Amino acid sequence: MPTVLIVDDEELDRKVLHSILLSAGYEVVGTARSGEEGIRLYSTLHPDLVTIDLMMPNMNGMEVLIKLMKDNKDTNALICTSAHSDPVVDLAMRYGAKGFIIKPFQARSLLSTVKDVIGEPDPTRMNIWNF
Amino acid sequence: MTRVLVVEDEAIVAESIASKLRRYGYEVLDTPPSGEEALEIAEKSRPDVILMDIHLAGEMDGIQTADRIASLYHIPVIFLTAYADEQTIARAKDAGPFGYLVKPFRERDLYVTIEMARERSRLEAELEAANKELDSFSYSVSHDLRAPLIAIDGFSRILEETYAGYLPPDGIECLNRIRQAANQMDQLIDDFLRLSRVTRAPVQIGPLNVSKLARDILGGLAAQDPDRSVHWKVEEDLQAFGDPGLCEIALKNLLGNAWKYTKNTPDARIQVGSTMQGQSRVFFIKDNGAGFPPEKANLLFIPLQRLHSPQEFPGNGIGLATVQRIIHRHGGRIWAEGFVDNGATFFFTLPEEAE
Repeated sequence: MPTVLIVDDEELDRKVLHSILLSAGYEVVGTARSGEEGIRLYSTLHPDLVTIDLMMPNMNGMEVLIKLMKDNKDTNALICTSAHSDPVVDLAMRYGAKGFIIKPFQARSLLSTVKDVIGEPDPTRMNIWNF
Repeated sequence: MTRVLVVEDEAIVAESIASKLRRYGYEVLDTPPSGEEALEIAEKSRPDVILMDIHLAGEMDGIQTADRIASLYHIPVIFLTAYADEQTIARAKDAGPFGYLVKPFRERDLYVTIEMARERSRLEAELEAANKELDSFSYSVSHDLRAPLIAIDGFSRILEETYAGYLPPDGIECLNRIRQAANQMDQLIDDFLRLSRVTRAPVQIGPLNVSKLARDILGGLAAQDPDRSVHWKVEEDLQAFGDPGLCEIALKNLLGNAWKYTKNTPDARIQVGSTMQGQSRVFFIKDNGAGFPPEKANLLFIPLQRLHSPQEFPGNGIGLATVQRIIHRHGGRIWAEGFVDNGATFFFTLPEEAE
C-alpha cells in the first residue's frame, strides 16, 4: 500500500492534505512540521512519496528536496506551493521533484498528481467519498 | 434609517424611549423585556444599534446579553441604566459598550450617543477589514517575494556545483555575491514580517522577570559566539509587567545589538540594570561598543535607517524599529544615549503593574 510523508510548517495545511490522502486510500505514515524534521522522518520511514511545502522558515522546501535527492536519487517528492514562479518549478524539476501541488489544495488535481507518481491507492481502504 | 432595538423590562419606560427615538427619526425594531428575546431579534433582524437596560426580565442581565452580542455580531450596544455604582460600571466596561447613559437622561444625549456609537462602530469595522487585508497582503508578500529568491539561490547553486570548472575565480566570487544578496533579501522579508506581526499581535500582560530573561539571552549569545569574551552584569531581581513573547523579541534585539557593536572593543562589557526617574523605574542596557553620534539618536528607531555600514556591522535597520513598537504597545517609552566609539545605552520603561 503506497505510503506518504507530509512536510509542512502550517498545521492546517498538514491536516487538509492528510485527510484528502487518507480518504482516497493512501497511508500517511508521518507528518513533519519543519524541513529538518522531514529529513529525519524520511530516513526512518522510507515512504513511497514525500510532499514538501516550499515556504518554511529556516530550511525551505527546496533545500529539503536537494538534501533528500542527494541522499537518495530515487526519492519521490512533490513540492507544495501557493506562489507560482516558473523558475522555481524549473529548479525543483532539475533537482528531481516529480511534480507540484498547488495551494490551496484541491482534492481532484492533487490526487491525480499523486496517482501519477505512486499509482492508485489501496481500493479496500478507499473512503466512500468520491472526489 | 437607523434601526434601533430597545431592551428594557419595564414596558412604560420602553415605550417612552421608543417614542423619543421615533421623534429623532429612528426606526424602533422592537422592545423585548429579556436578554434571551433580544438575542433572538438580534439574530433575525440585525439592528444597527442596541439600547440595553442592565436589569432585565429573564435569566441574563443586560451586561451578559451585551457580552454575548459582542461575541456574535458587530452591533454597537449602549447601556441605559439607573445604576451608576463602581461595580456595575466596571462590569459593563468589560462588555465593550459604545456608550453608557444614566437614567434619567436628556433626549439630546441619547441622540448624540447613538450617532457617536454608529460612527465608532463603522470605523472599527473599517479598521478590522483593513487589518485583514494587511494580513493577507503580508502573507502573499512573503510567499511571492520569496519564491523568486529561492530560484535565484538555487540556480546559482547549480552553477557553483556543476559548472564551477568553467568559471574563473572572479566568476565564482560573483556567484557567491548573488547568493549572499538573495539570502540578505530573504532575511529582510522575514524581519519585515516580524515587524508587522509585532504591530498587530494582541499584547497579553503578565509578570516578567527581566533579569532572568536578559541572562538567558546573553547566555544564548555567548553559546552562539564562543570566540568572543564579553563581560556582562545583570542587576538582580528586575521585575516588570509585559507580554513575555514580545518582550523577549525586544530584549533579544537590544542585547543582540550590544553584543554586535562591541565586537571590535577590547574588554567588551554589557550591563543590564535599572534606575529611578521620578516615580517610574527605567530599565537600561549599556555597552562600551561602537556607539553612535549623539545628534543622530532619534534616527535609530526609524525602519531601515542605519548609522553604520553593513561592512562594519551587518544588519538591516529593522531591529530597533521593532523594539520601539513593542515598547510603545506596552505604553512604555524608549530612548538612547551614545557617543562615537564610547558605547551606547538604551533606556526603556514597561508597565509596573498588571493593568
